[in-house]
Amino acid sequence: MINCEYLKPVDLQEALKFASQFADRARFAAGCTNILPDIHTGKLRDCVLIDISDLKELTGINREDDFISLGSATTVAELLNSEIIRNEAPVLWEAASRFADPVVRNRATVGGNLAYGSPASDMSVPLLVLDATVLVQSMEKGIREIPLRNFFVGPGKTVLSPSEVILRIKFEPLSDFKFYYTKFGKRNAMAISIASLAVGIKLGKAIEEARIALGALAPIPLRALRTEEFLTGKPVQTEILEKASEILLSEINPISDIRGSKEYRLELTRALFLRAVNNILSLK
Amino acid sequence: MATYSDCLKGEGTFMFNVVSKKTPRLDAEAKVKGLEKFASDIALPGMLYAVVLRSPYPHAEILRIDTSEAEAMGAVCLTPDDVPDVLYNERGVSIPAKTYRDRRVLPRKARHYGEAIAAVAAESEELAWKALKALKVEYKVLPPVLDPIKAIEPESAQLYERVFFGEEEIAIKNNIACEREITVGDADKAIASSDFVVEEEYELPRVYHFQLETKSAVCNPEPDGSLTIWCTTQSIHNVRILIGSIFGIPLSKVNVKKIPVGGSFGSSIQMNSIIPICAALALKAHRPVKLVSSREEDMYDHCKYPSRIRLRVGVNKDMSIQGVEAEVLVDIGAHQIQAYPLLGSMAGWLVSLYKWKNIKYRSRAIYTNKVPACAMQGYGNPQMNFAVESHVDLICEKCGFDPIEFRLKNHVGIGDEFWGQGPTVRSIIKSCGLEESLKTGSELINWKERGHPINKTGRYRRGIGLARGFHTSSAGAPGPAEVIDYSGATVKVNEDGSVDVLTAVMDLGGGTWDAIAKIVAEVLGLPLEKVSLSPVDTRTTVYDVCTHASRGVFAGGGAAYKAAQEVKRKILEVSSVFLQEHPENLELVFDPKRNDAVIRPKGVPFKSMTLGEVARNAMVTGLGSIAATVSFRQKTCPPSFVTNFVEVEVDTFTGIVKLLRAVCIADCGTPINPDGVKGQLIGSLARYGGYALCEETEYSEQGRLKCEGFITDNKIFTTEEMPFLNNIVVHFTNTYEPTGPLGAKGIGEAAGNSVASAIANAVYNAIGIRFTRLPITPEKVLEALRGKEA
Ligand SMILES: Cc1cc2nc3c(=O)[nH]c(=O)nc-3n(C[C@H](O)[C@H](O)[C@H](O)COP(=O)(O)OP(=O)(O)OC[C@H]3O[C@@H](n4cnc5c(N)ncnc54)[C@H](O)[C@@H]3O)c2cc1C
Repeated sequence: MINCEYLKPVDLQEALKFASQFADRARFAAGCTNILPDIHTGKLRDCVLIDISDLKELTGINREDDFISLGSATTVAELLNSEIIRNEAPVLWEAASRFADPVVRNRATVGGNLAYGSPASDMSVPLLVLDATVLVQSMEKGIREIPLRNFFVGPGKTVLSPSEVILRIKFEPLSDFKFYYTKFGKRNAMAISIASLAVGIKLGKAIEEARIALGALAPIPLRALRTEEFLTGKPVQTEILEKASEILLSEINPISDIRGSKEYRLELTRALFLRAVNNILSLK
Repeated sequence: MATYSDCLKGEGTFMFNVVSKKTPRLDAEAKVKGLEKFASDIALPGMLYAVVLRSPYPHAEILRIDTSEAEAMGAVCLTPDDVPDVLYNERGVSIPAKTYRDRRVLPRKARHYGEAIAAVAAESEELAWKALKALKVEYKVLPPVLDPIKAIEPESAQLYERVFFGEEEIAIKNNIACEREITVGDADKAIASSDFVVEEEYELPRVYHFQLETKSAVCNPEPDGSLTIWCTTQSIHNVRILIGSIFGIPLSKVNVKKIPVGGSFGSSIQMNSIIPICAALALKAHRPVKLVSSREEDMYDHCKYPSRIRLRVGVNKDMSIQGVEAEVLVDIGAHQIQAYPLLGSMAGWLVSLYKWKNIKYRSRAIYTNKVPACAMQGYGNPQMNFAVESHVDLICEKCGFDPIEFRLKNHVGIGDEFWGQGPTVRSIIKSCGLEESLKTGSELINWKERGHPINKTGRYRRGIGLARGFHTSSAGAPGPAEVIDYSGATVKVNEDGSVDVLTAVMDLGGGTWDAIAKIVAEVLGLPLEKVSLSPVDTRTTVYDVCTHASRGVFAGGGAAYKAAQEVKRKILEVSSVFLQEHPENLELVFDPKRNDAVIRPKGVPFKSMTLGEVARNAMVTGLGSIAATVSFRQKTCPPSFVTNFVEVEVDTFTGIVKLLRAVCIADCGTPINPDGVKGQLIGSLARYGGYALCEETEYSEQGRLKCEGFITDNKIFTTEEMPFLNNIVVHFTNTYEPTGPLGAKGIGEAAGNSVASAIANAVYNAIGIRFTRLPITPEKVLEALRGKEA
């Protein structure tokens, strides 16, 4: 039997209090685009929904010194409408534009997307490549800052404790990098990623720094740190990129499912990676 | 013979005023504003909400259902014990003697995951769901039969022991639901002595209709003992007949309302399984009951026929075909909705494509514990077309023939016989735009420049492909056949000269009702706004079999045309009294100045009366209403020919196939609604683009849909997958069907039958790999490319 209650806290403090009071039953509710399907299918049966969608600490897209700071309740549509994101974080903007469809984008939030911990989460890939930090808070642990790189633990699992809310997400826009984002699904619109990839390169005479983030290719969205390290300081040459793509394939661990087989995902990753790098190089 | 464009110019038998001109959809405003009422929008005072318990096993006997707890909650429960012990077939299109009956309103044995086994109705949907959860069912789980090849092995479990064929009870052996064989000449001998023999097997997937409206019904027991039904259906009369016969109610006491349908693609040719469940609940509760399927339930209700087709064709060096051997295996799922006529129709699509001379056709339909398959836009034709049109390209490639010349030489055309719906529905082709289509299409797509796959290199490779197909217009035939086909209409002139049309024909969203109104307006010389289609039901209309077989305009419109002609005759008769002229000397024409129909002596324009004046005079003088009702059968089944040319781009790194350009050429005779025809062609490009490249509802080993009934993993095309609009060219050939209303044929199914075949042929032209199994997913493309390299 479905047994879900709904609470609307007046402010952040009350939200955190409720979360702590209901412990394991507590669920922060933002856009509910994950929560409602889960209730509908019976995956989520017993919970207390704590509506955080309009808490002021969790909203807004601001510049803070060198950083851009997003409230966790920012919707994907708000990202798309933001001049800051469009101009200063185009890789995030691009990912937002490929996210689901306009109806879902109006509700789905960045915080919900990260907290749900799906390996195919589309917001995590651009935020990983931007090396974002997640600011979280709970009654028990107070405020913590967690690099997004260390945030995901397994499919549907993150380092968040049940009573911990994501407040904001922070990143440096990295204007000296060139980025490329690509998502591959069963079709172009309204599709879950079979593979998604974001690459950022800072190019001088050689590759000064490289960042690679991948979605739907391992139990968690991840950064390909070994490939990044390999590329650092290397010249842009076909053999180097070939070698890099081999390292990249050894860093991921895709599964076979209804959307694609493991073999296909491996093959696809190589193609998407090379496409990304070629795109960046011709972009400069 | 005059063509429709002559009629547009005023040089044909008719001068078209309304027909063949672009007119805004009559229902556009209601639909755009969300005011249209579909079955799920109907709400009645005191109405109960019903939900259905569905089998969690693909194959299980239902031993006991305990409803006590649910009943204690105030719910009305329906179990197999509560429904009439009648075996029925949900599709009333074939004659009863050729119809297999294998299902009950609620079964004693579940034969697929998601099959309805019980239902409850309650004051609210929430209470209904709670009560449903309180039903206790004891199952005896049986091993499921999922693979149609394994199904026929003797050790496989049996879905059925006995079913009915007409009134005769027959045994089912090895899960073979039915078989059909057709032989013309001696194909074995002819193939053996041909210069070339080409053989291949093709496989077509299980896909879901994905119509917008999920199946819904509202049933209301009336105080006079009758039952009123609002439901998702393509045939109000067949629903009425089936409900009447299952529940033993006289047809005069079953009234099915004609309401808009939110798309169908064939999924509601049959009386949907939820309708008798809803009716039984309403009869038991003595209250109105509403039952709306969720998308998941709907996906567990119907699918397209998955088919395997093996072809062996003999051809000579002079490009002449000598014979064909075809073997067809269709996985029909848990029930026979229309497998027997389907096998016959598939034979018909085969024999009507090319002049094979000698034919050996063997086909089998197999029961499996899966969602029952039913007609879906084309009724076996897209499947057969994919096999044959792929095979023709294969033959041309192997024998060095030109694919266009080969088709021109061997196609079935004017003067040949066409099988519109299996071997008993045949007529002679009188109009054919195929030659024009091939010529115009190849110029529009730049066919000559398409190149050969051997010469194509690089990451992105482009290819151009062609396929031609057709579909019948109705199942009309000169004599009685296995398929019922007739329609009817009432046309009446109102007292101000406007006109009401009463027809049972359903509009599945394609614009059939607009076409009927336009045909009547054209015949009566009226502007379109003076003709309205009445809201009707089975009580107020004469029989129409069903909107299927692309017959809405041809047969339904044909009946309206006939009724309008009859009314026209009566108008002239009545007018003769007022105009003091012999009726033969009078004509009824459209007067553009007055924007109205006028009656006048031939060639004497100043002595005229408008239709409104005539109708008013008839009222005042007591001459009475001018009206006519006809029941009408089309005696032909003319094919509409459609040819598709497409250009694709294959990304050899990812395997993604992109549709870049498409040329769709239609011969539908007179396009009554040109924008509607265009919409069908472009819509079908999307529909069958998905069939070719991404759609498939696969089953898990547990006998459940891998997508679990969710749309997340069952992708159809969106606009994003389509070519840009200016890269889609639609062209109508200049033809006129002499047996159709104002020269019209059907288009709905013809529009899609050859799309997937053209795409597969284009993929071959790009990368030199022939895909014999759909869908051609990126993963399969990459696998094939790697296989080719190795
Ligand atoms: C039709 C459809 C299409 C979709 N397409 C995509 C897609 O293309 N790409 C994609 O990545 N996802 C997609 N999704 C999944 C979903 O929309 C996203 O994951 C979305 O971002 C979730 O955000 P939400 O605000 O709706 O989360 P909710 O459903 O409100 O919450 C999700 C989870 O996160 C927790 N949570 C929410 N906010 C916080 C917070 N601030 N702090 C801590 N925990 C929190 C909740 O407790 C819950 O466990 C799709 C979903 C649907 C229904």
